[in-house]
Amino acid sequence: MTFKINRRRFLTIAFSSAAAAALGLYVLTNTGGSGGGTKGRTVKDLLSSLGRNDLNPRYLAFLEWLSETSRPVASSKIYIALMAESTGLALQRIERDFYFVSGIDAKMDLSPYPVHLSKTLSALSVGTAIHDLIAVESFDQTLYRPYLADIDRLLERYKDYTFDMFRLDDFLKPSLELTCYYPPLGPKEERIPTLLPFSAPTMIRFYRADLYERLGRPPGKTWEEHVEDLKDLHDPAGGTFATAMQLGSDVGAVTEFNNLVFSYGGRLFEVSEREIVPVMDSAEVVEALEVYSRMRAYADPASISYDWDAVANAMRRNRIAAALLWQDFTWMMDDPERSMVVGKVRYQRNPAGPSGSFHQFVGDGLGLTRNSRNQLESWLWLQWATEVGTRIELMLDRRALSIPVRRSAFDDDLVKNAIERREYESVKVVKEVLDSNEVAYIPPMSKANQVMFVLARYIRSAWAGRDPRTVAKEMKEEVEALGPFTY
Amino acid sequence: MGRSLTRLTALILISAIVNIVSGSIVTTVRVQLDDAIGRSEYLLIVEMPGEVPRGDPINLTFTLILERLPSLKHYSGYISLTFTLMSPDGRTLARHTVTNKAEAYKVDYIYPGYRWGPFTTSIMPDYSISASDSIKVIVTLESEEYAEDPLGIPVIPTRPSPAVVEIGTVKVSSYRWSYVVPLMLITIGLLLTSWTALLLSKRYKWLHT
Repeated sequence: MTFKINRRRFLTIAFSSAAAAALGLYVLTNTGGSGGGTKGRTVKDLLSSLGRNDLNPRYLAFLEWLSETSRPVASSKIYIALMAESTGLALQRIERDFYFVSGIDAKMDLSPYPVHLSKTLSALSVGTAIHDLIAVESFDQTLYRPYLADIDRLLERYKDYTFDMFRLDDFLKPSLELTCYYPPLGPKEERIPTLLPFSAPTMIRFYRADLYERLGRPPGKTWEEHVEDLKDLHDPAGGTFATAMQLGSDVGAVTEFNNLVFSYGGRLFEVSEREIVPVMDSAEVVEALEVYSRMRAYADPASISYDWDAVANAMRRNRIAAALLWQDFTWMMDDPERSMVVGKVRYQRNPAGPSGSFHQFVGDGLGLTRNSRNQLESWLWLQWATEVGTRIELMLDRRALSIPVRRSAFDDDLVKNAIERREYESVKVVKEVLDSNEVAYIPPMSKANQVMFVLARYIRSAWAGRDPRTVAKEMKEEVEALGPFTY
Repeated sequence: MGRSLTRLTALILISAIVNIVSGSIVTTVRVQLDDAIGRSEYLLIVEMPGEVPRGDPINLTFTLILERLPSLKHYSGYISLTFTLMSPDGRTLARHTVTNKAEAYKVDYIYPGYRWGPFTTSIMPDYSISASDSIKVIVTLESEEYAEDPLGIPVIPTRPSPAVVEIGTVKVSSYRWSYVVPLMLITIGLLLTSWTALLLSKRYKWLHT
């Protein structure tokens, strides 16, 4: 074999060598960077350099996939509006994982529910494409439905950008039924998935184990026994009220009361084909109102101004003995920096009525807006936020104890072992509730805000002493006047 | 074919030079703010040039993450970073403040985990003040953090003492194409090697087999 060097070859070799040297120097001098993307490092090493260690294997597998898949859209920016609740707050604490691995700059805006609602709906209603992803409460679905993309279409359009372990039917059944599909009732082919379940707030009973021990009996199993317990635990002179209630918040009052409505066999609304019908004047609802108002005598009188935050604060500040509260607040009861009752609060299913023990469920889901200009990036973020590995991380986070919305997460050994420990007792209680499907709910409605306002006003009046039968009748008439509630 | 390859390699060479000139260093530093309520922690990542030609501005890209707030604080609403450029003998060459309100999308509630940035700002040092060949970059972090009242409602704004950290030094080069010099030396060496190979191959036939 002969190899002749002429002038042309010389120039080629010389320039190639120089280019190779230049590229070598470039690689050597550009291995860092505060922007996203793994840039030659493994995902594990990258996250470790950010102080993120001991991550579960499924989470790392997803992030490895994300690192490869997100390359075409790295360096883009998306905007996400969430509610400032425990799952959203916990997710924000690990958001850097998504950003540094994918390079997609996901701007998260967390606000309290009323602010979130007005901010996102005002933007959507005037047609501006501000938010790419929005968290939506299950009962607000009707308000957001016109602005959200169909998940089925996203799955089809971005099948090459969908994690191979993603399964829609892996989400918890109540979350799928009450949060994901719309409308709430109808033939399967007409029910469209518009939200991916994100959080699963469920009301359970919080109680002070030490005070019940002093009382000499476990928490009562029925509402009647619960009221008896409250009577015996009530000690305002000693600085402890038996309970506190969420009468100061419209949504708080209605959801708290709804636990009793379902367990007495009633409903506030019936869901029929194409319409949601107010039925809150039934004998069962009247009975539930009567029992609910009996608790007033043993509640912190300031309950009339309390929302769920205030009730949780009363619990962690050693002012009450028991409460019905969202499981989302359990983490702070054992946080020594926030709680005066560390190790003293335990969790149980709600007291039962004649129809059983029911638990208010207000799951929220994440929807991708139709006018988003960054649908692929948003789809990747949406998968990350709801991925099994991510949900395991959020559940194990002692500052969140977030309910995994994926069934596979509950099958994971890390989760199985954790929920047997006392610190994760509340997760186990909610798992039992969701497994049994004994959840109370409020169907998605147009004018949800106005309906909640009317319901709460009447619930407060019954609590304050008005005749429950009259209250139920007038409440139904006024809600009916807001209708019809079609979908 | 040979000629187009030559052109392509020349193009690669030029683009690589441009990239090399933009070479940067990344500094990650944890910053703490203290007051009577407790300590909050922030993670600051700053990307800045290792070297800047005299007369040019310094471009800084930063990312700030709120890591942790003390128990009685819930969120921050206002954060500012002040970048101070100083000569080695302590003279201030420039100072520039950026607040989180400079973001196109304004977030009202900055909870732990919130990431501000990456945000790029450009600062022009006053080169007439100092002739030194380096500039220290110092950052001051300030934050308005909201504490809860006795009922647990987060309403009380607090202003912990600002934290000041030095995040690195930028070399000042006296001419603009300082990166080109080592590259040119490498290129000349390679050219000489290739030229020698060409000469040898013409003189000695055995190199052809």
